Amino acid sequence: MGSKQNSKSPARGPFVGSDGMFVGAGKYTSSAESASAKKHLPRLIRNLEAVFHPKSVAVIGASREPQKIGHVILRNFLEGGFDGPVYAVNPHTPDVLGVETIKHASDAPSVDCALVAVPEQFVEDALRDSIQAGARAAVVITGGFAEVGNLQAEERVRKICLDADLAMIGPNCMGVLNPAARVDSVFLPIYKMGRPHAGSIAFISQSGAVGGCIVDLAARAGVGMSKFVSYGNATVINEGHLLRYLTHDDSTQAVVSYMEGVKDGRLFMDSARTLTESKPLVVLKAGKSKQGAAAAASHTGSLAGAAEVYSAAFEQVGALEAETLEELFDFAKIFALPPASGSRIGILTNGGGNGVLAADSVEAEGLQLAIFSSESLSALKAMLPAYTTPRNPMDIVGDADAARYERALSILMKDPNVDVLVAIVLFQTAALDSSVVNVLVKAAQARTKPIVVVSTGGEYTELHRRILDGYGIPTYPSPSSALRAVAKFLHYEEYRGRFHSGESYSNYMSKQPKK
Amino acid sequence: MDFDLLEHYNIPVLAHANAKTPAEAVRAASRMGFPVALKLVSSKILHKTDAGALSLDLRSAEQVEKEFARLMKIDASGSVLVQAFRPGRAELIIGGRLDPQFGPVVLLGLGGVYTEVLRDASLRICPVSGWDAREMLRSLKCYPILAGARGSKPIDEGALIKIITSVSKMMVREKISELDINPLLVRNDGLWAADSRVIR
Repeated sequence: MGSKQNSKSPARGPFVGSDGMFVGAGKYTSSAESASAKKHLPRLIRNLEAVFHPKSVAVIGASREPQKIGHVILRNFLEGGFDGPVYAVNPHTPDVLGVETIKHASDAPSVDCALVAVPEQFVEDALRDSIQAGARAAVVITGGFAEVGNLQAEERVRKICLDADLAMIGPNCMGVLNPAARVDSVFLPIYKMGRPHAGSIAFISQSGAVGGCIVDLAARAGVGMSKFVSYGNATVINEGHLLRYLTHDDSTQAVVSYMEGVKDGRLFMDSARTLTESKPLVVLKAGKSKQGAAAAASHTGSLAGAAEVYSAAFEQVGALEAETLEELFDFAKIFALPPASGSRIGILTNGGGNGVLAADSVEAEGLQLAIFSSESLSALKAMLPAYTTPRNPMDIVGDADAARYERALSILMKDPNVDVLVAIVLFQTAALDSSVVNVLVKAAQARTKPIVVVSTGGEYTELHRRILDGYGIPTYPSPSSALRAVAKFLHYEEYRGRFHSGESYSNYMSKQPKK
Repeated sequence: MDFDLLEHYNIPVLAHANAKTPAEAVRAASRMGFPVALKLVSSKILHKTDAGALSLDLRSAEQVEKEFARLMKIDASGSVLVQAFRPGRAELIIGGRLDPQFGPVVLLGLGGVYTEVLRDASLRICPVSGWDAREMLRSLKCYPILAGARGSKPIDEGALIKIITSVSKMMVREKISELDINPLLVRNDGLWAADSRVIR
């Protein structure tokens, strides 16, 4: 690793680039590879535009057989409402799904993005044809490359793409979604995997399988997505490029990333740090079980295993680490909320026990339970039945109806001592009807302070939660999951707050004396 | 010699000298002031404590001579390092490691013999900025103690940040696969590396 050094500065070790910055290392990224990637970076990222907003697409390997990937993808584009030319490439069939086929992508007047689903041995020709037709990007679904040890083929594909600055996603990936532009190259049929509506969360996943499951769940939960990318082997476009693109993508407000490992450590660090200056990044790193730590020869080696280094890297760039798949979107969706002014939590509930659980979680997450203002306390006392006690958690008890929620909410949303409001709503009670959803939406949409909803329960409850989530009000199935998300939200608010207060990383660095 | 490397990167190291004879050891000890420690420098030994290759808190010339002779019996081909023996208010560890994904990383933690038991440590990927170094320090569980809990003198944060960023530079420039500076003594007169280990 890292044998190539900058000839002008022999004192530099293998990890320092010409700009004095660390340039990444490891089994995937020799410094030579990083240098070549750097040269291509700006154009590759510009060309990613054609992945998400293609002017035209060609489905290479379009098939008449419904169970074939090339069939599903073509159908997605034809029936999904994509409003550009769609070409079907298949040299053996005259037409697919009513579209007259062409023999090669290069027969099309112009192809902006190639969607490649042909067997591995035809991928190189498919890419060359696409480049000839003017393609800026490609999504290669086909597997059979580095993941099965076929390194030579992967390297040839990489070279073809880099020589033409072709922003290639994959190979061995599951496709790309951009709901707003009706771009859908995900090869799982729509009737089997739900598609999320257009929203503000971008999701990038190294694994196609995990990505597909989460997108399906997110669609069901009513969480909107700006982009979904399964990036597979990351031969050309890796997580670092995608983060850089998403930093400048106006439709994306938060980024969620599932990874088994970074492809280019240095690019990831730089891209993630830049992204988190303006948008939150939630990361789930799989494969963190201890391995090799016992073999370490030093204390540092034992304390700085691969898992610890990943966690440190995430912390260093301001990324929020999720431990489970559920947490990925639990954390991501909370960033739709307006900013908080502190970490004092107010709890409103129609169930006493749930309020106590929430108070425990407040403490477990290192947050504070708000002390309601005296104005709030007397206003609450005036409106509540005599058998309740105004305090935090505020239990408005089991006979609370939507009107009582509305009055209590309006008092607590105005309380200057409450920074974040956790509204626990048990839909199971006889007194409460669906109109409480309107009450919550109205309170949240005033955006005076962040409000999250906790509703624990079965189908009836889930139905109401889904409606709330659809309105951009984050809901959670338990007090603990809600307050974990609130804690991450506040942690990131604090991190980003430093940028706004001028105590930013780059400001701090520029004030340091030059060495 | 590891200490030379540390000093090259302006990391303060407790007074130390190599001695080939008992007389040299005594002269060095008188120069730096008692008490001193003797350490056997031998390629045969991995863990000095386990091999009995350490003599701590020696308070007289006689003790130095006697311990010098004892160490030479363990490995006559080794040499002896004479080092000032000074207590610290607290002991830290600063380390480094070459990570296969992210390259060199720097570690700051609670040091001493219980380092791996307590596992109170913070890590950053190189290059570690002053900002990062400060975050590392403040994220330690033992930070309140270092910051002056119960009326003790707070640690010189600026000096510690300088050492961390120097170690970051060293990890980036030198071909080091693993590094331990342990303990790094926290004393009223500053921060001092008392022992180190460099694996290339």
